[in-house]
Amino acid sequence: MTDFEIHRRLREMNTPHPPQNDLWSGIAARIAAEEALAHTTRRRRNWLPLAAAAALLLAVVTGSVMLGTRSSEQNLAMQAGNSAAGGDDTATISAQKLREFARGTRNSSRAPGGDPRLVGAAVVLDAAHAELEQALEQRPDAVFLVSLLNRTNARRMKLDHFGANAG
Amino acid sequence: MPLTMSDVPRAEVVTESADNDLVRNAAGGDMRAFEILYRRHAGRVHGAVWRLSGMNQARAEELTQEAFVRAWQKLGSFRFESAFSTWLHRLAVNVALMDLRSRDPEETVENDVLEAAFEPLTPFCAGERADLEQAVSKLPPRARAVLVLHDVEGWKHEEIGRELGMAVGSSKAQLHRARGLLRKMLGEAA
Repeated sequence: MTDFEIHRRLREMNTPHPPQNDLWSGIAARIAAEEALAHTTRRRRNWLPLAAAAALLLAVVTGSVMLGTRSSEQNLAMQAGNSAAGGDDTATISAQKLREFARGTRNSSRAPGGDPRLVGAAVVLDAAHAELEQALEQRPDAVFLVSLLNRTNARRMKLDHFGANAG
Repeated sequence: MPLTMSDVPRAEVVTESADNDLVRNAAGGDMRAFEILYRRHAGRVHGAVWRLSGMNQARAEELTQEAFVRAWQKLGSFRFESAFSTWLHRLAVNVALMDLRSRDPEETVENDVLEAAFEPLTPFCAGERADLEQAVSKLPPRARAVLVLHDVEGWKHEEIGRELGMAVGSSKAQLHRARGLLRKMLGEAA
């Protein structure tokens, strides 16, 4: 057989050659299985961004509260010092008040019931309480501020109660 | 209810536009449309992977299944820029080549050497198609792949080299070797 003849016969081999068995049932089964797997994977993936977002939010809140505790004490101390030294009457918070708040913050930032997990929440509530008191001094007739202050106090007491029970 | 071969038109009358309609439906999740596509193209797809697998029936059927499953998964990426049959055929050939590449290269080389050195070249009755197919199936895997892609499928050496991860010169050398072995197997009986 010459090279030409071999080459010609090879070209003639390029024809359909159906499988001996019907492969469709196997193909359909594999597609169904892979679709089911992909669906499960997609559902799992849908949870991932939510879980990641929740974890990130928790980390940011916790971090900011912890940082806020330190910086508020430092800022308050600094502002109090400046105010006292400069005799600034226009300061929105008196040096005396700030010192009290700083002291109060330090005191109250002790974990309610000794539970360190409650420190962040206690600091936030105490800061809110101080701001509301200050605002109430400027606008004693603001009923909504009294309402907010009462709610904040109620939550702080609830936190203490929770801490005591947890401890 | 599964379709039979008589439910679908013969390959001669299969039109590209009909294929495209079926592809659109299948891409939208219509399994029956995809089954019709399978019935229309199974012969050509199976033929390609059957030759590349050395006329190994079981392996060719596995590769055909794999090719259609991948085609289903990739239907969304088909852009209708070429005929579906061309796209599907190319995909099937790639599946067979990936199977070839997945083998340990060292093992493949060793097998090539061993087969070429020790396997007796049984003479065939030249001229019969079955004999030619048997001779091709006896070739070492890589040499056979190059021969089938070049002489049967009509690929260029550049394409073959790219797909099989070998230099153009290596592809040419493998083709020369494969033709020599074929000539020896077929010629001795002539």
